[in-house]
Amino acid sequence: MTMPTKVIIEEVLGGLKKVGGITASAVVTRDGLLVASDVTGEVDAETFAAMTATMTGAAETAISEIQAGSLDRVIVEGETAKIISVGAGSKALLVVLAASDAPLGLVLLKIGDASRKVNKILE
Amino acid sequence: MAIEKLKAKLIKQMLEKGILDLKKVLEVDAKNGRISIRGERMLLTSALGFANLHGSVQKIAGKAAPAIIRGYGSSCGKRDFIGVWKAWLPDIEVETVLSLFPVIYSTVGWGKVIGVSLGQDEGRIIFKNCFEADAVLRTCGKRDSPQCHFMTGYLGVLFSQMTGKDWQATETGCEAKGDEYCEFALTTK
Amino acid sequence: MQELHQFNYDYDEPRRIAMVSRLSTGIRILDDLLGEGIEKGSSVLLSANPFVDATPILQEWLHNCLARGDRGIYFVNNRPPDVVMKEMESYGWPVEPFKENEALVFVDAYSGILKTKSKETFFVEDPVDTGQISEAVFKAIGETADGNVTLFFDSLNTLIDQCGTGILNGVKDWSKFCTAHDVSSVYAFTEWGYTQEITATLEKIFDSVIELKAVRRIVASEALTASKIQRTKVKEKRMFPFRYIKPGGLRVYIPKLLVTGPYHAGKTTVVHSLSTRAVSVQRMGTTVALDFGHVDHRGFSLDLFGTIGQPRFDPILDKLGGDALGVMLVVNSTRPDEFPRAIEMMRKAGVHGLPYVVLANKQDLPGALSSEEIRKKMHVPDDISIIETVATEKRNVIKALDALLQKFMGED
Repeated sequence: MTMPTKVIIEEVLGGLKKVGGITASAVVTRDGLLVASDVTGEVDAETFAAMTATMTGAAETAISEIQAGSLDRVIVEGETAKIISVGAGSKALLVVLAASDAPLGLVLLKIGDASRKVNKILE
Repeated sequence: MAIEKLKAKLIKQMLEKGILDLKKVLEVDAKNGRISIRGERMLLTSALGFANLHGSVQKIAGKAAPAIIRGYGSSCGKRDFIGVWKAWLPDIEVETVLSLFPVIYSTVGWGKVIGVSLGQDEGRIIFKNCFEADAVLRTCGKRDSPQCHFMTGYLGVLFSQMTGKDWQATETGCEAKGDEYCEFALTTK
Repeated sequence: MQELHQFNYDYDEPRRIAMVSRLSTGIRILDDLLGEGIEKGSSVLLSANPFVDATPILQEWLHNCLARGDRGIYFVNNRPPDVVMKEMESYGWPVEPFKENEALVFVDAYSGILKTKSKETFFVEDPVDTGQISEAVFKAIGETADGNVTLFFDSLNTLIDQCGTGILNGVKDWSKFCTAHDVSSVYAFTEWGYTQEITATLEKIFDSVIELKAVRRIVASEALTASKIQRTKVKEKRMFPFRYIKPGGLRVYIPKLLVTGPYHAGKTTVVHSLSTRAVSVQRMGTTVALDFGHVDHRGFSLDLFGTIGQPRFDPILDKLGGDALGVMLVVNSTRPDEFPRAIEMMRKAGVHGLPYVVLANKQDLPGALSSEEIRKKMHVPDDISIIETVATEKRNVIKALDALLQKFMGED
């Protein structure tokens, strides 16, 4: 009995939920497929995976086009929530939903930690 | 009545001989600049041009291009099932539909379907000369990973619609990668 | 052929906003080798040569974790947890109190082999069942979630021998699980001649690999080195001889090299030419106390002791010889009449069976004998190197040192 990677990543995502302000998270492949998610409610995780991958992919090409180095993260600010997407290795992304008033500094710190772990797990 | 008779004859011919004569079903209305098959408007355009879809999406969305092309394929799969398959063969069983699958897609030039098999939770579809792989291969050479994103999205949704089960397709082998065939694995979600 | 927009992107590891915290092993030489301790959540393989014991290091590390208030999980599959605790006590690391307040928990995968009941909370009923082992490991980790937790594995090769190579998939899973939970892990492994495939797989699984080697020696016999540090292969390995002392644990051994030989053979010059800093006490052109120098070479940190050539100081040779790693016997190539004296000194120091090399010094002077001639005249055995040197010009002195080190490492 081995523990599938998906379950182990879900543990990492579960840890993220404990951070104040983070409401949901997911790990998706850069070409839009869902790897694991900790998403409740009406969000269709698979469509969300494709959208966030596209959003990040396009952001990368934009940064590349203006020759501004590599992409650090994408932050989408909505009225009541934020979407933050960071790389988790060459093949995956970590996407997080946060409340509008979430403390961005702390959230980014935790996301950085989690993305590093996910990268290692997926290697 | 006549149409039903013709349809039955065509189906019989397809099942027996495994081919469908395109000339018999293609309706050309040169006066109005329209081509159709059984009323459904068809378009003739360069197959290689499909590579342009890949290219332009990639240019904008980078690594996420497959997601978009797959999405396009999915919506086409749904539309084709409802607008073409179901409309043309409304009451036929899944098995007959499956056995017609190779003939139909070969006829309209998507590629030569070597095999289709569908079990309880998994299935396989094998294409030789798939148009998508061909377009990418001949436009920009051999790639490192499977390229038939449109087909992946299309097949998943088409079979889901056909069987009522939720299928997901992944391309396990691709001619654009240098493999002998384009092979798609189907799994239930 | 038209090229589609080819998207080449260089993905670095996700840029970290925070630095990964590092945890000290408590053993200075290990911390140094690994770069100020290990990254929290990383995995370390202690790969030992069959003649070297890795468990004292595991245990000293565990003790240091517990002493600073962290938690430890000790998985053991080759002896009862009680024996492990006794071993630790013999080194001066009593762990009963930590076990009592559950800062230390054992995963007992040994009782199951004898089919006896385990006294531990976490145990594996059938230690050959990889599934059960995984379960016990996950459970133990899951229930000690707060603070810094380190998992100690004693031993990995027993696991492979009992469960087959399939257990390596389990190891990969535990690694990922540990990463997810920020649990650091250390595995003891004895290299009993496993296949290339297994060693290659192990290399890949672990973030850092420390190798414990046995060197062909009589005194202070083990050496450690790091071959992989935080997922980067080490290009130039640094070797550190060490030994275990009871009580106390691991101690790095700084080997002593004796430079001896007849009066005026050039010993002092040799010591000075090798050392980064050397001290001699001379009166009237001759050494009256030891020449002392230090050299760092090929990852070894060496102390050089040049002896006094005159016969009246010979009793010192006995004292020094006992503790040395090896001997550089310096002879004056133009004075065959002193060879018997050289052999005598050699015998006095060499009675301890130390490896040695002969420096046929003063090759620049007329009448200097060649190394073959010296070999014949001094009856030097064929397996001992004779290097022709000119110490005043530092010619070949390092070569002689290399020859001696090679002999020490058993690489000849």
